[in-house]
Amino acid sequence: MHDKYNFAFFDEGSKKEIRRTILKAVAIPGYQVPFASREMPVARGWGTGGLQITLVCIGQDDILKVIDQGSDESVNAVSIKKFIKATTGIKETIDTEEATIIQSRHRIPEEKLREDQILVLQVPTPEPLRNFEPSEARTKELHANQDYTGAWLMLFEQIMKYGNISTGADHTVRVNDRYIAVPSPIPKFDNPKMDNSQCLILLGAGREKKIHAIPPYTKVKSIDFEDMPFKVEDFSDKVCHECGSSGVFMDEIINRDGSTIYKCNDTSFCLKQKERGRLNER
Amino acid sequence: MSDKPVIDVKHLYKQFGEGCSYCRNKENKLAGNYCPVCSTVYACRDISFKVYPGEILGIVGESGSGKSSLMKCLYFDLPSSGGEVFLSAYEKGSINVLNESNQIKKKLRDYIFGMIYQNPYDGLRMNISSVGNIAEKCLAAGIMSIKDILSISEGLLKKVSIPKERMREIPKKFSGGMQQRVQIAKALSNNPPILLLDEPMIGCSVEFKDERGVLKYLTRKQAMLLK
Repeated sequence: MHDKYNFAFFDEGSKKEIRRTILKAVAIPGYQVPFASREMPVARGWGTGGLQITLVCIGQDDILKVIDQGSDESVNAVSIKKFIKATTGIKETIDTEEATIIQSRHRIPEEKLREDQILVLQVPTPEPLRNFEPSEARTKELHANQDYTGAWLMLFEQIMKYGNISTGADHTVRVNDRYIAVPSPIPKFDNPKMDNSQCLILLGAGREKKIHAIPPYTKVKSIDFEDMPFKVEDFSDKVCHECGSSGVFMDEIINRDGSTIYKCNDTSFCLKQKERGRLNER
Repeated sequence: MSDKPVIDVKHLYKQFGEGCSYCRNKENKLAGNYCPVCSTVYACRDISFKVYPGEILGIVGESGSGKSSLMKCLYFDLPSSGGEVFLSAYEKGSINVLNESNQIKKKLRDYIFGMIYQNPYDGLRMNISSVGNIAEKCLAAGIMSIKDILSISEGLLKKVSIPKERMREIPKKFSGGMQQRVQIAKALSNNPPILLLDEPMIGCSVEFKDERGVLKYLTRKQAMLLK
């Protein structure tokens, strides 16, 4: 397949346009840059935004990792990986430390990412104010005027309804003290990983045709109130059934007999810990 | 009384339409308030007034005479066609606010003005709870503590006779009069020096003396434009 397509599937003109979009996004942290999202062999809603970013950034020396809600093995993660490999021939891995480009749906890996790595996140709805203001023209104005009352108002309504901040994922953030943005539907647990991250984080929405970015070492603050600060989920008392880790984002599994066990959501991290545990035992 | 007006409007005018050589010449007569040649509507022509703290300025006029247009120009809902407006709370009244940037105008709306529209649908978000509507104004005015917002909201809703049990309900479920009272509470929540009221009593029952009481409570501290 590598011979039938240009390297990384796209024609060079497309790559240039999307790269220009990415550069503009990096230059204005948190700002959604519109771009001409291409038709892909996979339908909208299946990661085309992230895929387009990965395809235009990837080079022959890159090592690719693709995860879907923490797993390297899910059908969609594997499909995307196969497609990228088929059009580039580059090396793939499940090891977070070894990868140079990581495309992810709805999770940030547990292992801390470095300056030489790029994290590409898939975004369904890039506009944090969409539930507050349906009009795109109007939300553009709100961003331009830094009129962000709506974001806090939606949080306030949650508190009125449930007594507490109840976002599970996609908790709105403020980037570089300027733009309000979505972090993509990562769990609240992962939001702090974006703050002052060493790696470059690129967020692509294929259907909505927007790219935004969080450059390295950028301030990212999850929005909250003075007397109700942002809090992450607490996994300190949960232990992974497979590797014994604690304090990482867990999946809750209910067995047939009704008992509950917990397992690391980040599968490659879990495998690594398990391997380390085995080595320590020897 | 202070010698500086809270709001000083000078030769404000608002037109809808481009105008033409006929109507731009002030010597020529208009048909009512519109130009017989190009149909440009002159909603407000050469409006000047000053309002001092504690004063209430009532604006009366026929239907279609430009009262709402004037209110909307002052609240920056509509761009003015000309004139100057000075606010003592902004730069000590030295700068014409009509020429300021959108971001400054937004800040003035949030911190200095309170507006009550004739139609509650213009002033409220019908799908946000009543307390949420008031919270919106508090948040815009920089109040970022839930406790403070709730305390202000509860106090104001009590003043406008909306029971505490209903504060989490959406205004869509309220009667017109109740919706208007939520608007009043919202307009007061940032304690603005200037209140703009566009027929605020519409939909409120005659027996609702409390609303007038609320307005009386305000005049001690604020300037009001009342239509």
